[in-house]
Amino acid sequence: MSDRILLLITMGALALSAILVRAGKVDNKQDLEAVARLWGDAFFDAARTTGSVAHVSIQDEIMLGNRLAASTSGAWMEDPQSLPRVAGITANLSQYVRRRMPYQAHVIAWPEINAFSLPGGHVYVTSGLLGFVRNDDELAGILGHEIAHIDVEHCLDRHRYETALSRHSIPNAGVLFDMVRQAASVTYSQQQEFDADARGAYFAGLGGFDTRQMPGVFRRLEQVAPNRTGQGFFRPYFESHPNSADRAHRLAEVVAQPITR
Amino acid sequence: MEWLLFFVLAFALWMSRRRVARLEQLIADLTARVYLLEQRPQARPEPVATSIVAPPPIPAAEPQPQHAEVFAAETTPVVERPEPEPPVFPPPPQPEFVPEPGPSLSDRLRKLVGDDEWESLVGGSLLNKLGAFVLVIGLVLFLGYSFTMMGPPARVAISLAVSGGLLASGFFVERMQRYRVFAWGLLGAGWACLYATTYAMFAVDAARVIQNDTLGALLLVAVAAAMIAHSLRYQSQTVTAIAAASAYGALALSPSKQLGVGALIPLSAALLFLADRLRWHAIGVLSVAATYGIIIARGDQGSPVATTQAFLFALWLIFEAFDMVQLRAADPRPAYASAIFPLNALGFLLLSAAKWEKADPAHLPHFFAAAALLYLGDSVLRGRLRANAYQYSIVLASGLAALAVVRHAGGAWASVMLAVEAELLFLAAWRWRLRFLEWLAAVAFGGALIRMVWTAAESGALVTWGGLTFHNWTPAALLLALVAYANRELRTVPIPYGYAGSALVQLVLGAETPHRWLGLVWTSWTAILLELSFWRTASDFRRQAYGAWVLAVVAVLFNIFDHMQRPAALSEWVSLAGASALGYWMALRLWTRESRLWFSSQAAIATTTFAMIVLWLQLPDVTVAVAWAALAVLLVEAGFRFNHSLLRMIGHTSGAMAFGRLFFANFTNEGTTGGLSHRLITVLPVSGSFLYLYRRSREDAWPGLRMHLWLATASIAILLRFEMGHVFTVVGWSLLGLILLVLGQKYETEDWRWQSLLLALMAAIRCVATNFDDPQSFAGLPGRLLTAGIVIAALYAQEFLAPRDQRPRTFYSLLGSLLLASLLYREVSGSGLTVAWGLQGLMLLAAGFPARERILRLTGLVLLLSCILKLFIYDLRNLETLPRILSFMALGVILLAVSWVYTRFRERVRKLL
Repeated sequence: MSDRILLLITMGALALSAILVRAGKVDNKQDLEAVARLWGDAFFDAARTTGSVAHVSIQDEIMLGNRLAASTSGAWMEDPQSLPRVAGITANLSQYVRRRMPYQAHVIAWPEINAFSLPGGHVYVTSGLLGFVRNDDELAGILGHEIAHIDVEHCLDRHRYETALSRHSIPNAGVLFDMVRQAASVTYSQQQEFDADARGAYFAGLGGFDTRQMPGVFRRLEQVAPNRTGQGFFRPYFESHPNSADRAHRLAEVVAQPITR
Repeated sequence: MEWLLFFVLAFALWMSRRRVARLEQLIADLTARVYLLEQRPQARPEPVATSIVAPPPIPAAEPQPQHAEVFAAETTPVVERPEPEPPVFPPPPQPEFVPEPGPSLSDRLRKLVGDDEWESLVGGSLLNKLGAFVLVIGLVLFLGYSFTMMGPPARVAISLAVSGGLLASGFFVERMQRYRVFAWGLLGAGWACLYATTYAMFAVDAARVIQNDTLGALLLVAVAAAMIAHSLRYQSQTVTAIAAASAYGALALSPSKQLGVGALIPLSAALLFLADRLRWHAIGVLSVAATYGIIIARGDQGSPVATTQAFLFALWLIFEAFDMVQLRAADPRPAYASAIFPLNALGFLLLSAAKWEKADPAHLPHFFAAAALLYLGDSVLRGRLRANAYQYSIVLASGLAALAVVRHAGGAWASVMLAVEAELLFLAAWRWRLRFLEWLAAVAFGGALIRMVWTAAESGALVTWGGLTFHNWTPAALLLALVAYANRELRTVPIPYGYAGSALVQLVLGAETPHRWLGLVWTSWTAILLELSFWRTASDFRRQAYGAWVLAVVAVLFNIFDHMQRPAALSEWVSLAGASALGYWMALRLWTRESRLWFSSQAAIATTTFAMIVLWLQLPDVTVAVAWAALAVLLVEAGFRFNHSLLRMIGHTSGAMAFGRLFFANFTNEGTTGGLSHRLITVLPVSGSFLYLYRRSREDAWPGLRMHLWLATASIAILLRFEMGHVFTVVGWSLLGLILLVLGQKYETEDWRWQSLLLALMAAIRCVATNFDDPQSFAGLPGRLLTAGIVIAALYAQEFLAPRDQRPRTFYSLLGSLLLASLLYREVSGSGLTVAWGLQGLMLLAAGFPARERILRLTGLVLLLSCILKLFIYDLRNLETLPRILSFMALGVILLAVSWVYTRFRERVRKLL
């Protein structure tokens, strides 16, 4: 094919592209989101692939988790009345995890809407969250999210090198390494949240809960406590949690598919 | 008045010193010659008696025959020997003075002058002068000293008697040759005493006998005139100069204002006449200096301005006439005589200007104009008398005319009139081929230009004419520009008229053009200059174009920065686009017409930068990369069309920037058209443009061009990442890698083969890191199995597509096997894993034989060995009894089966190996 014909084809394709864009719904934005997400992908893949270098056994992880849980136990009061509900759902969902370990639920008497997890199977929710969710389906989605963080070793990643190197009597190097790793992995943690949302919906679905309720939690979160993310050019990329609207949108796509084991 | 007397005395002493020095040198020369003549003459060689008759003529040698055999003749060739020349004796040595090295000054004087002559000099001449000087001082003191017994008449009588006696003695003694020098001293003392006495008679109280100042001044002038007349007798400029200085002193001392100033004209005229006739140039200079000095010293007498001007004009005329007459003379005059013109000009102009400024300042510009005309006429006359004698006059004339214009006219009119003056000078220079005048015209034009710029900077006034509104100085500036270009055509010396004209035009354009059009207008002007330079083959126009272009670039930059702050109207974008188009056109013209690669490239870089910025600001964000890619393609095409290598390089760079732009607005863009995402619509054509650029530039042997292959693949790979989602990215990458491998082999493109390897590795890593944990399912199938399966299949396909016995083949095979093993590790646990890996090993072996793929077989064997290890290291300790048994048994069966195959088909296996 001659150069002239190729030139015509190339210029024609470029022109057609511009025309088609003009004819459709134009999204006028320019930011560094693509760079941030690609960086997150690369870091995530590299970290997951090389994570086996600093392998931590389930027993070591349970010991680490117990130590962390004990160190924070005095910082807040627990709500024993709500604990059975949360523990029951937790026990249901933990049947479907990949890495077998004893999962323990904790309810903190605190009005703020929050939930988090620690390595070794410790799942925490606040009483404020319990008051926010409308039913067990939504609560299952939240608990499944936190269980997913433990199951796919997101929680362990933050302490992996400290734990692995402390075994070889080099704790400080591990702490430093983990600190550097956390600083470089800000956008990576956003992908972790998306993955945990999907995996939590998976656990909830397998446990018999209605996964279509779950995106509603994030939509209500967006209205009750609108994120400050999304304002300014760089802020979304330096926040650890993605925008609630984004999470709701992505979770809706996930739960639209049937859950199979 | 004392300072005037001091000046006169100093001048007299200075004149005397030079004369004495000349006399001493003359005496020294004469003495030396006499001395040498008295020495014994050197022995001279006796001259040989020579015939005074001219030697007999040398008979001309007979011409030899031309035949060669003559030279070989047996006869002895006769060689004519010329007659001996008469002996030449050196001329007798000339006596010459050879000073002895190292004698002291006194020794030399003594040797030259001789003891007797030195004493005579001191005693005869020097003491004579000193005596006269002392006597005069004594007389003056006497006149001023008040005796109680002697009144003024008596003192005057005594002084007059002394003066007369000295004069009479001098006249008498002068007749004797021996006492001539002595007589001069007496005469000088006599005249000085008479002069001092006459002055005292009306000016000193102790000797005042004349009450009428005018009478006294007239008497003094008469004495001075007599001195001058007497001095002429000696034909000595020094003597006459002293006398003249005395006369000027008399006028300066005169209490009568009218006499003091009015007598200057006849006195100066008389002295100048003498100076002309006797070639006494110092007298002429003294006359001019003393005349104006006296006028300045006496100050403004309060006369009417017309009277004063007439008087000064008369003086000026006299001195100027004298100077011109001197010009006509054939013999050269000393350098100091040239001071007459500047002294005359300075005195006349300063005094006249001061008078007008004081008495009638409103008409001072008129005086300057009249003086300019005066000096114009003066320059014409001087020019006729001698070549280049007009220069100072014409400079004065033009300066005075400019001064008149500046004082009288204001604003832009002053610039116009200055320009008219400059042009008249230029035309005169052109008409009469006078280079000095041409330079003067250039200076005047420069003054007009400066005035124009000053006016433009100061004045913001606008005028309306013919429906157009413009600054009041704009017509003047355009007129100046027209004049400048006309002069550029006619000039004979390298004066940058063209630059001035172009600068003026650019100034007018800048002031009259609205800001939004300024970039385009100045760029258009640049293009005009450039075309002019091509048409006229004039390098100065091209340089002006470069300068104009720099300003145009700055203007465009300002426009762009302004548009970054606020939305811009369509006309503004049209202006910037037009400027960019013109910029490219000029860049190509510079290259095609004059092969100026560097300038052309700089222009192209600047224009490309502008074009890219304009596209960035004007187009929707998602189409900017498309536009940049199109620009890159066009630049490369233009580079080939016009054989401009740097233009192609700029195009490639633009393409690389288009790739960078994709990260800003394309990969994460959410826009759609008919269900197609805008990132797909835009990224694919941009990738295609990279491939086109690579193919099109294959003639250029630049290693960096391979960059386009990588940019194309990278943009598609990233597009797949965002288009296919987090999970299915690996499928897209695997398929893309497969396609690249096929294309790489077909077109023998090594970069594509490397990209295929890279994509395979990335897909495998991503599978392990992301897909294996993903819980999503698709069409009832778990997503992780579906995607990992496709990736593994693609890897094995690539293995068989890759050339045999090469490393990529091994790489693909190992990667596929490793990935499958990892997947099994994730999906199966405990004893099932051992069985699963065992089955995998078996399948690899089974595939390896018919496919004759050794790596598959080796991988299978390694896997089986690993299973054995796992069995004994892990399963034995950690598994329950039944799973342990199952894993051992299953693996045992597999191993036996493998062993049977190797044994049964030993020969075939040996051939394969």
